[in-house]
Amino acid sequence: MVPLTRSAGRIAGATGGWVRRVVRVRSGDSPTKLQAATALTVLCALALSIGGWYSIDRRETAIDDAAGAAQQLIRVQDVRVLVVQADSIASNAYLRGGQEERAQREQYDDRVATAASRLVDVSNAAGETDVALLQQVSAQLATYVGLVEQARSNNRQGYPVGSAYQRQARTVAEQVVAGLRTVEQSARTRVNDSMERAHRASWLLLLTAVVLLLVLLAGSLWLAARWHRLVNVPIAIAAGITLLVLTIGVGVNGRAVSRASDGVRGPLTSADLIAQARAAGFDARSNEALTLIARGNGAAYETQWQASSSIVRTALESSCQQFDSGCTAEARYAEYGSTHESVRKEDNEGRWESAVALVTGSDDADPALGDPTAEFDAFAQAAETDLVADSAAATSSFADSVGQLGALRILVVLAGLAVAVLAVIGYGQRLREYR
Amino acid sequence: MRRHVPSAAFVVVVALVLVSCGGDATLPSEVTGDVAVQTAPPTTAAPECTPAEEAESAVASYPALDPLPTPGSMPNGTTMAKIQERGRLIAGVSGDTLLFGARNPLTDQIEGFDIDMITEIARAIFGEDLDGRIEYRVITYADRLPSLEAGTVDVVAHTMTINCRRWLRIGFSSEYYRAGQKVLVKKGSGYTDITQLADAQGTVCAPEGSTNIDEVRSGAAKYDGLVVIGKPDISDCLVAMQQGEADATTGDDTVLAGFAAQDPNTEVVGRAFTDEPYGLGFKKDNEDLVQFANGVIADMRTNGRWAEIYQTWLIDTGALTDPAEPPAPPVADDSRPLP
Repeated sequence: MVPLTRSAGRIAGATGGWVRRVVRVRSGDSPTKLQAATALTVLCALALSIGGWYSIDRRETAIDDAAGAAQQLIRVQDVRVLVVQADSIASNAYLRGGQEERAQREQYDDRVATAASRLVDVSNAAGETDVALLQQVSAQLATYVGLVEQARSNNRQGYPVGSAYQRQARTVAEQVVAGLRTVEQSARTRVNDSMERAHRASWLLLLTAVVLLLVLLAGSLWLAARWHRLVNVPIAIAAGITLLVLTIGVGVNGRAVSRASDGVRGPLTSADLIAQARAAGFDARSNEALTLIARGNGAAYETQWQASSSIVRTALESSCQQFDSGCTAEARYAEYGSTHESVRKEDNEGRWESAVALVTGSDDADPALGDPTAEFDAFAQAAETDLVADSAAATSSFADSVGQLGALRILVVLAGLAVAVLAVIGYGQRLREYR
Repeated sequence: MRRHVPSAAFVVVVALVLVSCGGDATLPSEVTGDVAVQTAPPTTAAPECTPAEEAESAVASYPALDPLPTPGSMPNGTTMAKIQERGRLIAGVSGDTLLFGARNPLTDQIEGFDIDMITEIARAIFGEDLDGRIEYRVITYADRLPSLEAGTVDVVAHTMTINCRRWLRIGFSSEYYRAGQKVLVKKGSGYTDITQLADAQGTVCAPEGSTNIDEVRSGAAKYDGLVVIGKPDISDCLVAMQQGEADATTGDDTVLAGFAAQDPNTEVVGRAFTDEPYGLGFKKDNEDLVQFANGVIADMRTNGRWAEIYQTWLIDTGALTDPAEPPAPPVADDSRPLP
């Protein structure tokens, strides 16, 4: 038969070489088969070392990424709460006009300064897309502070144009919050993507370990049948090590991802819900004051109060029922919501001054109607306590989950190398019989 | 036995994979509450006056009620009786128009020319003790007519110009003040009137829903070149000027005088280029209340109360220097409301 072309002939030649070698092994003598079995086992053992190391490393990286994204989520939510809290204080202070309390002013300054400083931390840990958005948020926060200052100084001088600045400040605060919510959603997506990667990362370790185990078992059976020996000790030890690696690997790997998953499903979800409730709560409190600043024309702000309160209730109900966290905050918010109804009743029935006195907690307030300031503070404090506990538990889950993966990685590499050496020794014992 | 090895291995692998992967773990999306924030419905086009309607005098209101009923004893079945029964008069006012309707942050009280007009109407209904008898609702320029149409307020006192188009939607009292549209510019800008600003293609701000913005958007040749920006409220225009977004604000001279008092870097320039007769606004159906208000305003013209209010808010504050007479009594017009 004449080859059609030279390259076709080369391909046919190379294929023929492989075929010849396989045929030689299958039909060849025992030393050739023993050498082939040694080579195959060593290759599989090295594959376990490399593939296992890679697989564990990917899982560890994915869990670390999820932990980083979770931290970022908690940081961004913290900044969002600080901004809405500052806005809530500014709105309430505007209602007090020239009688703004010094403590209230210091609280506002503290929230704004802390938000600006923590925004830097958020930017440092953000991805490229989020960094651009966070730069915009940072600029908007500076604008917001300027507008509140303008509103305040005009208000103190009795200039009504202050209310226009306060409205504008509110609009900018809403833009800041919208930007932060986008970054939050981006962090949530990163947590979910990283956890999905962590789940997928173990297949290579399993595959290489199982293939190696099958190769070792097949080799043992072949040796037993061909050389009439019950067991080849080195090969049996290699199989035992592989089984051990497989068992420990699955156990530690599974525990790692399961611990991280528990952290996401449990305390992180709870922390996320409570942080959202807290931010929505402060937003509601701000809208309560804005409804009164708008004096009779604040229906839109009251609708926003209802919308924010609905978020608070939904989030805390979910957190309390699923994780037994946020229950106290839920009860405190219900008390505040009830007093808010009294505020609205006073305002709607023409007693605006009484409504303002209630909201600002002035001495003129009727104590029988409740104390929205104290009730809201109780809600905020309870929510913060549970949020801190859940955030710490989530962080601990992630740290705990990757703790043993480093040791497992070294174990897998050493086990692969040990199996390779044992395979050479085990098959070598039979091979020496032919020399 | 050899045949069982691959299947057993397969089962082991699947079990191990399942154990290793663990369950699904995803953070839920952002919480959305069950109360949606409604967006404002689209507004329908305002009705237009016919040429015949335009030809009529816009300032002619219903005849004044004379004599007025005794305060605290409003005739049964009237709108005034309903207000008396409710215990308070609900008034839509401005909260940030210095001199006419603005909240004083030191006293937390809304005060101004318009507020004193409301006080007189309330006094005529309830008598001298007005404690808790007036509920002020601060509304924007654009909300003035819708508030009356929706019946959320009894009366609007909000530097509102009486004109034919508005008569198609609401009722007006007789004229209680005659303002004129002017322009507020930055001191040292070199602009001396609206025409010069138009020639320089300057940016002028006015509140949406006001006659002021209708005027500069009317297409008249003298406004060619003007860049007009609309804001929800006229105080937003002062902010726009202070932030460099607008070169000027156009509005009624009285309102602009209040702005100049708040920002010494601005000044009112030029002559008034429109007439802006102010009237109190009422729900279109409440003719009896309009007649009642006209009776109160007629009394104020003659008993010196109008002059006192003028002195307090426009002379004593330094906004104006010349004393003025109240606008001439309107021509009683039984043909109101306009078709």
